[in-house]
Amino acid sequence: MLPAEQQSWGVKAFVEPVMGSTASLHIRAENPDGEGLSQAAAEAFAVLHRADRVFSTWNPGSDLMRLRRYELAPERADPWIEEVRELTTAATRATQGLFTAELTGPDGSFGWDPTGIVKGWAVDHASAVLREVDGIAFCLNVGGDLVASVGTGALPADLALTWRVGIADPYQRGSVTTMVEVRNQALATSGSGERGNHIVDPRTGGPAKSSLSSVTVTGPELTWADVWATACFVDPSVISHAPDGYRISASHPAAVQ
Amino acid sequence: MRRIIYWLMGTATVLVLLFSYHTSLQSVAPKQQTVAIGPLTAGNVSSGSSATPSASADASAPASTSAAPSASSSSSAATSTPSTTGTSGTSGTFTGTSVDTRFGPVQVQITVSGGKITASNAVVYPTESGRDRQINAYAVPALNKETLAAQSSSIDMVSGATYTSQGYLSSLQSALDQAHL
Repeated sequence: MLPAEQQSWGVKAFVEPVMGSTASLHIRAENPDGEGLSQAAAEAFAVLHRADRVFSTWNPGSDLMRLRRYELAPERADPWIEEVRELTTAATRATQGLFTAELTGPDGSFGWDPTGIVKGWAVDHASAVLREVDGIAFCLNVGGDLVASVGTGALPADLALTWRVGIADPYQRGSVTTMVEVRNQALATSGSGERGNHIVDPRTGGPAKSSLSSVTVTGPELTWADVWATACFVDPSVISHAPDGYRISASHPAAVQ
Repeated sequence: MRRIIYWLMGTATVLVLLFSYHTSLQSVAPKQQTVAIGPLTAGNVSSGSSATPSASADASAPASTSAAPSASSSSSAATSTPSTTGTSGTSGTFTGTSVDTRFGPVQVQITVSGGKITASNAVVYPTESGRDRQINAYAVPALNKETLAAQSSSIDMVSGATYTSQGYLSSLQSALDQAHL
């Protein structure tokens, strides 16, 4: 990368609270302060907000929670519900059953909860908006799940297309860290917290007893990178069933008890 | 018997609340994020290598991180490095948005010199209970070291998986964002 004065492009960051996390969007462009970029960022964030309205398990008024309480007829729900329902079925099948969307929700009720897939899926959708923007490279990161890609049209010749992603492993005292460089890729990290983990092993119904503390999967689509990262946390060997292009790019072993 | 069932259900609910990706950030983030979008909280923005003095000052500021020995040694070692390069590009001190975690507010500050992260410190983090100290003892140095290790190849984004450091990670990400807002 050339020093800032010599490069023909700049970086602009956009930040938006959404999906119980924060979306960070960095756009590299010749004119990073252009009006068009703010507009594109707003449109991308709007996609994430729609996903929140439809799928949030924390919002009793979301389509998903109203469906769970039988207050909303399935045919009147947002069509995204059906799209994601099919996706969760496909994800369970593809991962040999290691990904599941049949979970206990925050209200204690058991049922279809696509939370584990919605974030990646929504970021993929939001990225599609940004891929229509002329002459940019971008990276959209929501809570550590991210898509790095480019827009349409000619790009500045010296535009950096690679994004350096720091993978943190807070388990290891004194810190073990990794840097994963992504370029036209999606990246998702799944793992446990030191207070336990939230990934269910569908084979036991209990929390996954993983040999890893975190696993990072890269691939063409974030939806599937996220699904494979979740499944690989339960059993990393399942990555052998993933299609070409998806691979484990980083992992940290579980802390020795 | 019935009481036990209620207790179990309650526990399960709490666990799900804890570990679902919608963490405590959700209730707090909307209020916090407007800060991140605003102008950057630059302590000492400058160009070239003159940012270095502020970097060393920052590194010594959070004396409380010395609870973890690795943090103090690594941060002091790193801050001197960039001063030798006649740097260009972004320089200055950037403070991330304060993020409320279940353990209290956490805020990160990074020092950038010539486009490289030269120091990172938690300027605000919980210190009240023993539990909090335990969290800090490894969450803070882990990230300090991470960002310092990145000084030769600066980080653009952060990915991580754990709940308890999520607030912190968000805050580090926020600091990275601040440099480009």
